[in-house]
Amino acid sequence: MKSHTAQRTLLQMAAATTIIAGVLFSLTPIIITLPLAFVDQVFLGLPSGTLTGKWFARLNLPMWRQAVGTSLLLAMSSSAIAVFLAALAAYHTIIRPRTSTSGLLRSMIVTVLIVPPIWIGTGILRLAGEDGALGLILPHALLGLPPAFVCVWYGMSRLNPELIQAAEMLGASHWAILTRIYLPSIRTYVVAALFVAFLTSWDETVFPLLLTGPETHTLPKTAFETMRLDRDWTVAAVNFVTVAALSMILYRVLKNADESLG
Amino acid sequence: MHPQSQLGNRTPFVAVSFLLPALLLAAGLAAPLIAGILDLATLDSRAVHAQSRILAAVLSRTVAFAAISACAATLTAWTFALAIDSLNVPLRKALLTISVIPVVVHFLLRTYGLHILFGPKGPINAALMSSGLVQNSVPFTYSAAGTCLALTSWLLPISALFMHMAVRHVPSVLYDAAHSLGASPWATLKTVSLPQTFPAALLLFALNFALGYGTYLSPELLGGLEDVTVVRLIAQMLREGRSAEAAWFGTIATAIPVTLFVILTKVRSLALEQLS
Repeated sequence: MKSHTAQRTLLQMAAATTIIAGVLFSLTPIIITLPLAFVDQVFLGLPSGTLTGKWFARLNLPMWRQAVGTSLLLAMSSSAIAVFLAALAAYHTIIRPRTSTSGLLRSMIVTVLIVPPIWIGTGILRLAGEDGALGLILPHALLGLPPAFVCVWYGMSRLNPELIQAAEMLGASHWAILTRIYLPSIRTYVVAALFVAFLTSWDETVFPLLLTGPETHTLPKTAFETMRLDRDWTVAAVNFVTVAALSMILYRVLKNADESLG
Repeated sequence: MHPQSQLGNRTPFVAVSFLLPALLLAAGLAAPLIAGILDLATLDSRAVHAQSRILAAVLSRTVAFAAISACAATLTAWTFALAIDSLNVPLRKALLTISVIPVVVHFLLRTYGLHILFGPKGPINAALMSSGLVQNSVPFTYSAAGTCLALTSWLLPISALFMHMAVRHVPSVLYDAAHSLGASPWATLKTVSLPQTFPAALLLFALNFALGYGTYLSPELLGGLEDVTVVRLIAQMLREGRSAEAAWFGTIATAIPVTLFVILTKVRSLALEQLS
């Protein structure tokens, strides 16, 4: 028993060290960069200098307005498409788990997840050429589909099968089962799917750099280019606003997901 | 597991639920293959042959970066998930939320945060030098170490969430059984927690490897001039208008994470069979 206590203490110390190290490694870079939205600094270093609101004011410039607007439009439309298609794919693989079509869908989803996005971008660039922001919606939806599928499929697979059997016996169609039983019952997972698909598009840099011309601005592209040319911390101002909003959504999603796991 | 649906197999909705997502996925995956075939005629095979050593070096370097980062992210996330599992519910939720917060911060800013933290004049180097451990600043940025650091930092938040889900799925009856048999905490960890979560860790490693292998921003922002990865090279080829070479090299390079993923998922299936 004495050795059990010693082992427990050792494991607890190891656990505490891991938690502290993990949290520090994850959070410190963010804690450092968040104040950069409020300081007058044009170099890459710890935040210093006088307080300023100029990075927030720069959000009014046409280039940044277009970048934020385009990225929002892209992220919202592509995540809606990704989640719609993910729900269809998840439903198909749930109701026909051992068919070749389900196997093919799963294989393609995994393949899109693991191949480098630049490889897909090379193909789109060659076949479709450079296009404006609208040309990015489907490529972004493609990248958002795998993580959205994982969320929706996970939610669907946890649903009580008796509910579905009851609906089938009462004569419900596939569409009714999907839209009136599955999706309302797995709201949390659908929100999580929308969230991850939105973030996938919001953060995506390769496709905008590759597939759009100089007149099209998305947030990652503009931030990447302006940060390289002149340390423009407007992206920190945008980020400050989005972090506040998205953290609240993330907290709700995690809270609900954790509760449903028990 | 859900039983096979009793509704008609051939209803139009079943076909649509397959066709719509399959169409987008197939178009995305077929595009680079078609581009590769179309550009094959314009590919200068002598130029490719002349560069074969450089391409091989880039491939092996990228594999090394991806493997190191995937290993670091998976092991850290695995340990983190096991560590927070023993905590009370509010603390666990808070720590999980904190660990996942980086995903909502724009990746560009996170990378610049790492740059400031690990840069030559950053707090990490200042602490190392003031402690006397090193004389000069350690090149954490614009180096291979910088690439691995940035990749690990990028992979860690989602890995933590993934492993948390896996740890929460271990049947509690196994812990109860181990406890009632008088197993020590170390024995419980060794015989219950680790084997039960190993298949998930293996899958996570495979995913992390593939994601790390194919990412662009981290190696571009924190890697050195000598640390060109597959994706950086493809981007450079495209900037120089060498699209045929980019498509050809991209297809060869893509085979590596796909093959590794297939192998590791087979190993995972064997591990799952052993568990059951």
